[in-house]
Amino acid sequence: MLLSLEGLNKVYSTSSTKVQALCDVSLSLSEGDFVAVQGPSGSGKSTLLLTAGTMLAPDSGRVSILDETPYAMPTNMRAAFRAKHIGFVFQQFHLVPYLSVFENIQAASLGLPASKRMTNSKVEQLLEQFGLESRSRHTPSQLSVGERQRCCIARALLNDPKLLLADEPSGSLDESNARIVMQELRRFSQNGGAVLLVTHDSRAAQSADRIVQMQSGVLTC
Amino acid sequence: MRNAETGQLTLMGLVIREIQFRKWSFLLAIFAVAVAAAMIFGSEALLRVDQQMTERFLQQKQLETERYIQDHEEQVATTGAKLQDTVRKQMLTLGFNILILPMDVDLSKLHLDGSITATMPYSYAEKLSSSNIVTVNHLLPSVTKRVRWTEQELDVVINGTRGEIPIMHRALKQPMLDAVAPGKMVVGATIQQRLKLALGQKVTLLGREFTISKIQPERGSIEDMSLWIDLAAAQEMLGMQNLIHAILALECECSGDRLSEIRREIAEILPGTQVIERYSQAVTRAEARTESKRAADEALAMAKTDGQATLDRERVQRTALLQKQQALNSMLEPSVIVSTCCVLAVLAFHNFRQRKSEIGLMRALGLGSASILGVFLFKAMLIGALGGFIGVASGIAIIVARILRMRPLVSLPEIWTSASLTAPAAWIPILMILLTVVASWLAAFQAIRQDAAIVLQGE
Repeated sequence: MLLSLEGLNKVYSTSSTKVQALCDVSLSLSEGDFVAVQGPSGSGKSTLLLTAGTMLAPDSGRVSILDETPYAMPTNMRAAFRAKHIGFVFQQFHLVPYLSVFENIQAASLGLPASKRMTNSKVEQLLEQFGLESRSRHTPSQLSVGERQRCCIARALLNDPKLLLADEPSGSLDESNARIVMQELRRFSQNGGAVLLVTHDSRAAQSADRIVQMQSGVLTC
Repeated sequence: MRNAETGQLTLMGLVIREIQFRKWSFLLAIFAVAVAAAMIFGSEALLRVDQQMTERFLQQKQLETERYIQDHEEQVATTGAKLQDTVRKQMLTLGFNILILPMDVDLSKLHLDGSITATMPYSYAEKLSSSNIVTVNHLLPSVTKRVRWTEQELDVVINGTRGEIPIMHRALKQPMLDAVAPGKMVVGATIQQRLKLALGQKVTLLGREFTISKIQPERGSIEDMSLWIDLAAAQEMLGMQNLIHAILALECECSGDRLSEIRREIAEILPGTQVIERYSQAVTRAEARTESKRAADEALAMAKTDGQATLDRERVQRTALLQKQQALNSMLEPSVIVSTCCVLAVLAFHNFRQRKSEIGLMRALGLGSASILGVFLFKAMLIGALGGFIGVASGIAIIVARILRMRPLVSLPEIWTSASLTAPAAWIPILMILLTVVASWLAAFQAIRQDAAIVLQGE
């Protein structure tokens, strides 16, 4: 099993309110799976994604990736584990504004030891794969929205992760770019990776092999 | 920015890229650090240089004062000797201090009209001069008589005098009074005014012709109505061959009780005479001569005291100035450090807020806390180092300019070494690095504590 989420619970507390973001969530992804989690805004989709991505520890429950339990690891080791095995695609892209497209993709290797970092030829291969060769020296502000998202996916794929977590990757894109992005995610899963896509867009969700619904922190098939 | 061999992006490269992207805030931070470094170095170096300059200035002043005192000592000695000599001569012109008279002279008449009724032999003067008298230094025999200057229809006092009779047992001294040469006449001020006499004018006195050789200044006494001619002529004109009225005896040190001693000594040699202190100027003369020496000594002492006082005053003023400067520095330096810390902390927080998303991404990409902390602190160290060096360089430029303005007094390498300016030039950049690290620490700490999940969810 590539990703296994078992009985996850997560509550966000403020002084006056408590929000149950995850309520006994269980989900499994194997190699080649492309699963979409669909639900309205505030349903807990992003929390699920970040919890699965070892970025947000659940209050209870178990997260297992490649038979490892990352939340049992020390912080730095978990960070290294994340860098090696997980790729992230965000709706807001989170590209570093002062780095070129080439460097933004390279930046994915910063979390790896120097000896294990990907070579520049791998970056160039990704640039070619995502049609960004002519943009390699441009900064994010000089790119179109679609190009930014492609750059974001290229960055997520640099370290050959096993798991790709995508949070509304087509949310800011036009139809054409959204289709390209979904095609890339599908290609990744077809190549043996697992994709967990969270989206409120039913058309985007249609690209997945399996769709699960999420409502008020509860996952339903 | 990238690893030279592999071309991979490094954390240092990330920092450099970020600096290039946000260069103005970086430059602002460097400027703040540079200003602080320049101020701290400047104030520290100025204090050290001023301390050195003060030392040198005071040493120079001390030398100048010593030189001045030395010069003044020589000047005072020369001037004092001249003054004493001048005073000695001037005092003489005031009159004779001791008058030896025949015992039966009516003193009241002498005091009233200046005439002496009794006489004594001229040999008395010779006897006194050949005696062992010790209280009297100079002897001048004279005749004095009030007569009618028939040619001018004027009553005058004729003084017949001669040069000083040497006292035989003494070494010869310079005569205190010049003798009136035969055929010459010295006239008192009132006579000159009444008769409108002029120097070199020939006049006839009781049938004998004289040339006026000197006119005495006004003295407000009987001397203004007196005239002086040589003794022999006076004795002849007054029918007093081998007789004299008085012996003017000059006693340089006669003051106070010594008069009785003089009287006793003279009475033993010349019985039948009396001694009077004719003029109080005698004391004045002695006092004046003592005073002139005392004044010279006082002037010298005052020069010494003044020089030392000026030096002490200068030392006190400069010490006070240095203390003020030290006090100012002790306030300035912490203030500069604290305010710079605040500015840097604000800039670091601003930078942290700008980079929240980036930090979240770094977390997602697997960067640990140490790496994120390193990114922030490396930048802080860079700011501290650059700002520190620029600031110290500016401070050095200011100090060098100041030292060069004082170049005649000191040389740059000399003052640089003696003021130990290398030390602050070395430790201030280090201090600035520490300062920026401390100021950025809170922002860096916030960065590593930031919940990446919240940022990546779009907050």
